[in-house]
This record gives sequence, structure tokens and C-alpha cells, in this order.
Amino acid sequence: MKGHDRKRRDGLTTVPASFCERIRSFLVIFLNDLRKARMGLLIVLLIYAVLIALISPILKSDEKADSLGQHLQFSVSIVDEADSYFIELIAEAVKNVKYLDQIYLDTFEKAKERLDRNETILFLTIPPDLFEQTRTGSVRESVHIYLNPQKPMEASAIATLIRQYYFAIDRVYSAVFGYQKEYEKLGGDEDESWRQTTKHAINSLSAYFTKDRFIEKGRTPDQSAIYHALSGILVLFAFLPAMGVLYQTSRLHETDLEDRTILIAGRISPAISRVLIGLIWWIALVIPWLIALRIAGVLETLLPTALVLTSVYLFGACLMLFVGRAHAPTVGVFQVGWLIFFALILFGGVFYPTSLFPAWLRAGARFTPMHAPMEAVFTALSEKGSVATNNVLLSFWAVPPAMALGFIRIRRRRLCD
Amino acid sequence: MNEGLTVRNLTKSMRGTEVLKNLSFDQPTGSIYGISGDNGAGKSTLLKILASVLIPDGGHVSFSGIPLSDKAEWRSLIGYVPQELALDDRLRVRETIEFWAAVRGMPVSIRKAIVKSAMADPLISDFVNKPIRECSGGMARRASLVVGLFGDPALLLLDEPFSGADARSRAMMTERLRHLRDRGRTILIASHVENTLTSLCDRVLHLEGGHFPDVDINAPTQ
Repeated sequence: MKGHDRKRRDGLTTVPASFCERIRSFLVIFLNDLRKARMGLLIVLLIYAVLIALISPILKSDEKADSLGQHLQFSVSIVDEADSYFIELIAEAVKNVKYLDQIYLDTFEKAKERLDRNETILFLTIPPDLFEQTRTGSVRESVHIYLNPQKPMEASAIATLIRQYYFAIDRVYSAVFGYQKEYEKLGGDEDESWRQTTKHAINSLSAYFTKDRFIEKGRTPDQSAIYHALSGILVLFAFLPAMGVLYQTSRLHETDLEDRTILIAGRISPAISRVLIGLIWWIALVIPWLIALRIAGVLETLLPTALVLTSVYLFGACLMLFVGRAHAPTVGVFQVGWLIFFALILFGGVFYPTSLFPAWLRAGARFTPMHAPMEAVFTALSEKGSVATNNVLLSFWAVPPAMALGFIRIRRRRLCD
Repeated sequence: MNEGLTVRNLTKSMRGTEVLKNLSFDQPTGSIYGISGDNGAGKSTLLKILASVLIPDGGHVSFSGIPLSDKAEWRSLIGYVPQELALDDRLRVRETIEFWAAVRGMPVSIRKAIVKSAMADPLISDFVNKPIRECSGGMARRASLVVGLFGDPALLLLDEPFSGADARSRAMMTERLRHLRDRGRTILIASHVENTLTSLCDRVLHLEGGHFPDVDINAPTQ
């Protein structure tokens, strides 16, 4: 009976043979798995809806207080007694700084008038012998700052920042002072050499002007902790569906139900279906967070971060396909899976930043699969930006080996495949 | 012998224990054979090998000239009803039938006709809307048998099909199996309930020590 007719009298085959039949078979398994998961998914969405309803008023108030951007939105007047190129260069360098609304180049009287009208938060005067310390070595404070008495707290905070900037400029200016002389020796005009040197000093420092971490110096550790926690939550939520893959795999492993399914549908369809269901869980758990962060302005773009978090899930799902097919009691396999999960999370720097690890552990942690995604997400959140393409690719480094492991484990099953 | 099931020198060890030792037998098409034996004798292992679930360590198996090693062809020949129910107990019987018909990948139109026909099957027709978890042992066994019969397989492998079934269910199932045999289907049943096997089967093979002591493959085919 070679070439046995697979299509029987009742029109049904015992196993799907053609490509279309296999696809249909896969879809049936997938939809059945989805149906089993739908209640859980609905519950998660409901919880999210409630959370959003509860958190949105807080987010709104946070938006109002988001302070740094708006607290630091201020205008200043500069009184340049020497009428030097310095002010022109400063104005050029800081014109794109987001917390600076206006810079007025005023006379002393005009600046004072603006301060009285509450138009500016402070004004500063630049004496003719600015940077005298640099030039002559004599110590003196060249810049005088007049604060707005109606906003003493804010004004003094900003004055402190300006002094920090001033000393930073002075330091940089000193560092490049030698170059001014070289420039002059090379035939440059003395005035032009000062101009170039000053410009260089300002440019060097202006690179930091837009860095919030520099501006928010006192708050940097808090913000890092928040962004780290947020990154950790995202990575955890991205990995959790992989534990569902483990549960489904270990629960069915070497059972008669799995045998029956695999004999009819093959071994790949149920595994892919399981991974896709996990991916739907991933969407339900992760995407709302990403959208919320995008709306809140913490994330610049969704896709790169989503890709990074997809790598976390794919790695976890493939790894758990491997673990779930171990020849061990279901409970034991599940415990081993959770152990691996916590080890990956811990050494990947999700609970604690790897910078807190001892040097030897930090070196090792860099090569754990969770490290690159965690770093990429953290950078994206903390710098309110996106994830660079090379970081996205780096996040995927562990996926191919995990896929190979999962595939090998399926192949090594006791079935005659 | 090209017709029927041929098993030669089948061996299988599991966790260091030799479960099947050079097991050989022949079964002609259109017959019902029973395999009896104590718990742990290797009945389920033999059926799992024949169902291509387990890989034998050695030996040769063929059915109607098709070797077990030709998996795609082999699986298109067999229907396997495992020892456990192997059904999702959250589904109703109707949904179970629909699912297992659909997993075979047939177009919806054909599938619907098949399901409609299966719903009318006396084995399950009176409880198609009942969830599997609420079915009695006998009902669930009948549903499992109907699933195993999809595709009208030429070789039907049943592992403890009467386990937990009441007298009525058992009678319905045996009647169906006899009917299938009369239509030329080859049926192999593993069970430790010898009296049911004796009344149903054309021949009962007693598995002991990993082989059939009362089988002489050189003797004329019965």
C-alpha cells in the first residue's frame, strides 16, 4: 500500500500534508492557544485601564511640576561694561538652551528696570577686565550678579549655576590660554587670537549647557534611580511572557496531549504558537508603558526601544523552550526556569545598576544577555532620546544562540522526528 | 508479508531497563489484536513506538509494506488514542471535535461536514455540548476514540481505551471497533483488562518480560 491515499473516505486526512494544510493547522493551534490566554489578557488590559485612570491625574500634576524645564525657563540681562566680543559669543552659544527664554544685552539701568518689572530673573555685569585672573594671575571676581528680589529662591539657584559656569569657563579659558599665544606667534592678530581662544572656551563649555544632568546637578542621582527603575520594569515585563512559554512547554512536555498534537501537527507549530502567544502577552504588557512614556515625552521614539525589548522576549522565549523540555518533573523545571530568570535579571543589572557591582563582577555582567538591552533602554530614557541602531543590534546578540538551543531541544525530543 | 502489521526484533530500553526484548509479531489487516500484561510490562511503550512517539533502539516495523521509519507515510496511516485522555478539558465535546478536525488542516467547508457527521456519531451525539471536564470517564473515552478515528486510519492503536468507561460506553466502543474491523481496519489494543480483550479481539498477545512468549513468528499466520 505504498503511496497510501491520505485522503480518506470522510475527506479528512490523518495529518496535514500540503503547505496550506500545515498553515491552517498552525492557525488552529494558535487560535486555540489564544483563546486560552484571552481571559488573562483581558484582565491585564483591565488592570492597565484602571492604573492609567488612577495615574493620569498624577501624571498631569507631574507635568505641571516638571519643573525643571519650566522652573528654569527664565530670561536674563547682561550688562557688558567692556562692550566685548565675549557677550556676543556667549549669546550665540546659549541661544538654543531650552531653559533660557531671552537674553537681553542691556545697559545697567535698563537691566535694573527689567529686573524691577520681573521680566528677568537676574542680570549680570561683565567688567572690562573679565578673565583678569587668567591673563594676569590676580585674583578677583569679575562677574557681578543682581538677583530678582521677587524670586529670591529661583534667582539664587540660577546665580549659583551661573557662577559654576563662570568658574568652569575660567578654568577652560586658562587651559587654552597657551594656545592664544601660539596663535599669535603663528602670525595671528592679538585681538583675533583672544577672540578665537574665548570662543573655544565657550564652545567647550556650551556642550554641557543642554545636558540636564549638569543643570540638575543636585537631582541627578534621583533621576537616574527613576529611569533605572523604569528601565528595569520594562525589561522585566518584556521577559515575563517568556515564563509563560516555559509554563506551557513544561506543562505539556512528554504528555499524551502533546504526543497527540505533535503526531498530527508536527513539533514546530505548537512551539511557534506558544512563542507568538508570548509575543501577544509582550505587546499587552510592554507597549502601553512605551506609549505612556512616549506621551510623557520621556521617550523620543517607540520603535527602537520596542525592538530592544523584543530581543529580551525572544531570547527569554527561546531559552525557556529549551528549559521547558528538560527531562525533569514539571515543578523542578519551573523552579529552574525562575532561577535562570532571576540570575539573568540580577546579573544584567536590572535590579541594581552594574556600576554598583565589584569590578570583577561588572566585567562579567557586561556579557550577560540582559545587560545590553538594559543599558540601551536606560540610555534612551535617561537622555530622553532614542536607541542607536548599533545598540539595538547589540541587544539581539543572545537571540540566535537561544534560538539554536530551543531548536536543538525540540529536535532531541523522544519523538521519531 | 506486505499486508498487515509486521514487528520484528523490536527492542527498547528506558532509563537503563530493557522494556522490550526482541519483540516480534504479525497482525493481518482487518483484525483486532489485544496486548495484555501487567502494569509496567511495556504495553504502552510498544504502542508509543508503533505510533511513532518513541524511537525504538532496534528492530523493524512495517504496515502494509510501509516502514515505521517513513514517518510522513506512517503517520498518515495511523490513528492513535493514548492512555491519558489527551483532550483539553476546558473545551466542550463539540469544540474538541472541531479542534482536532481543524488541526488536520482541512478547508473549512470539508471540516464542517466532518464535524457535523461526527456530532451525529452515536458515541458522542448525546453529550456534544458538555465540557470535557464534566464528562464521565466513559463519555470522555468515547470522545477520545472519536478523535482518534478522524481520517479513518488504516491502523488504529488504542492504549487502555476502556479505562474508566462504564459498561454502556464499553459496549458502544467495542461495537464500533468490530464495525471498523469489518471494514478492513487493523486495530491493536493495549489493556490490562483481559476479559474485555478476550471478548473483542481476534487474538490476545500476553506481554511478559519484554516479549510475547506465546508468539512463534515462524508458525503459520492465524
